[in-house]
Amino acid sequence: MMRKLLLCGLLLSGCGRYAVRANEKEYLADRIMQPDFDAQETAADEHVFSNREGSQGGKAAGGGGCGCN
Amino acid sequence: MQLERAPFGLIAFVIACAIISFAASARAENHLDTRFTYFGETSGNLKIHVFHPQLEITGDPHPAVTLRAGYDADVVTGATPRTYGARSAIDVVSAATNFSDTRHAVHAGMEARVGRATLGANYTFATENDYRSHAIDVRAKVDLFGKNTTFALSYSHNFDSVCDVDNRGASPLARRSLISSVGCFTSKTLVEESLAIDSYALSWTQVLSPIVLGELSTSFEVVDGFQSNPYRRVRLFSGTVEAQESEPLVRERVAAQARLRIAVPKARAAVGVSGRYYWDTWGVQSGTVELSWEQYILPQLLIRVRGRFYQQGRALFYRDAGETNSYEAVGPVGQYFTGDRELSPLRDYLVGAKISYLKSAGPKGKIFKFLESVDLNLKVDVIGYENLSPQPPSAERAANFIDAIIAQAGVTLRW
Repeated sequence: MMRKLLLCGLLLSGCGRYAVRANEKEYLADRIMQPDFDAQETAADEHVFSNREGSQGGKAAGGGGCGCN
Repeated sequence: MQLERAPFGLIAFVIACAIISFAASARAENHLDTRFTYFGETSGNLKIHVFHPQLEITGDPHPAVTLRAGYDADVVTGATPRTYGARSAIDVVSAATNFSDTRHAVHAGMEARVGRATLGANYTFATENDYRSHAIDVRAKVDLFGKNTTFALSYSHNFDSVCDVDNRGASPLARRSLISSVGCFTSKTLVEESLAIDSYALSWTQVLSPIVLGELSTSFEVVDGFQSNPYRRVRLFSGTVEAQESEPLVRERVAAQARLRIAVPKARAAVGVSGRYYWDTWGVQSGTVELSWEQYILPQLLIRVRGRFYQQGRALFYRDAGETNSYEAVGPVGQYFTGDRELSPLRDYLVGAKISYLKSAGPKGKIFKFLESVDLNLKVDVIGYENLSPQPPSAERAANFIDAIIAQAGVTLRW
């Protein structure tokens, strides 16, 4: 299972190099395509949920990005 | 409240340096974020009001370096029952204890960009009447394959202290609860219980097409130390014993999340979908699904609507007061018993809307002669709660369809 996931990941990441070039990232660069664009709002939401619910974690480690700049 | 001088002095120094650096930098991309959030649980008579101001300043004193510093607080007032056990609704309300507390937190950090990598570190200090926390975190991120793939790693450690009654040597059934926070961290009759939290996170973000962005992330956390609510008591053995809540000292938590963003160019919109699975060694499992739609209705006006569904199972040692195997009927589970609603089986539903006004500098010049852009945000979320066991702690909060409300206003300035 892990091997299949790893293989799938490598294929996807390899394809990324050719699939999307910098000049094709117009839509990806928009703020609405960045899941944690409003970091202050995300932090406040997490603060609320972690005080109401018994689970937390799983969030992105230090932000992702679309490589638009 | 007596705040610790040394950490606040250090943070003030860092903020001052950051502001001077930002002002001196001609090439900087600086911004100031402010948010004011109100959170209220207003169902029944057990109301809780939380006011949460946030302020953060971020700037680039050098093209490869970003500094940030910020402050946030929680001003909490409300009423909550201190004892968990089977009782009538009248008992619950009359036994509720009014409380108020203020939590202050400051943070400072930096990021450095080295080639394809970004390295960062942060420090956070938080204090309230009965709890203190020092936290450090470090992170690294690398962009690969034409910046279509991003891997990120992070690690954080908390050095926390919880105020408690001196229960050293007492058995779980003989432990007394804390009555008030007066004397915490100063009186010799009270003690500081330690709590260490180690968190590890890994994420992979992938550009899948010119309009699709995907992300997989996972985290592992070890919480080691005193995790009970020092004020909370639990009724056991037909009410003949009332002891301080007793929870295990170690909790290991694992979570995995997948997110997808899909642009809808014709509508000037984007769809967001995310799902998360969580599991921990206390036996709590949960699933979360979130769906959002963001759209420009004018070039400067952005709206977002979203929905979120959350469901969790119970902890292994949670016993519901309304069931036949309650703590009052059969006693603790081993040495553990809890009155924490977060460990009961429950569902949360959230729906919300946000509107943002985005003003950017045009060919005529900057806004107010120095700003590149101004964002104004307003949002409202409402949360419904459904208990999945007969009589969990604060069950009366499920009486109304809307259990809680989040209202937020924010301003972001860039220069």
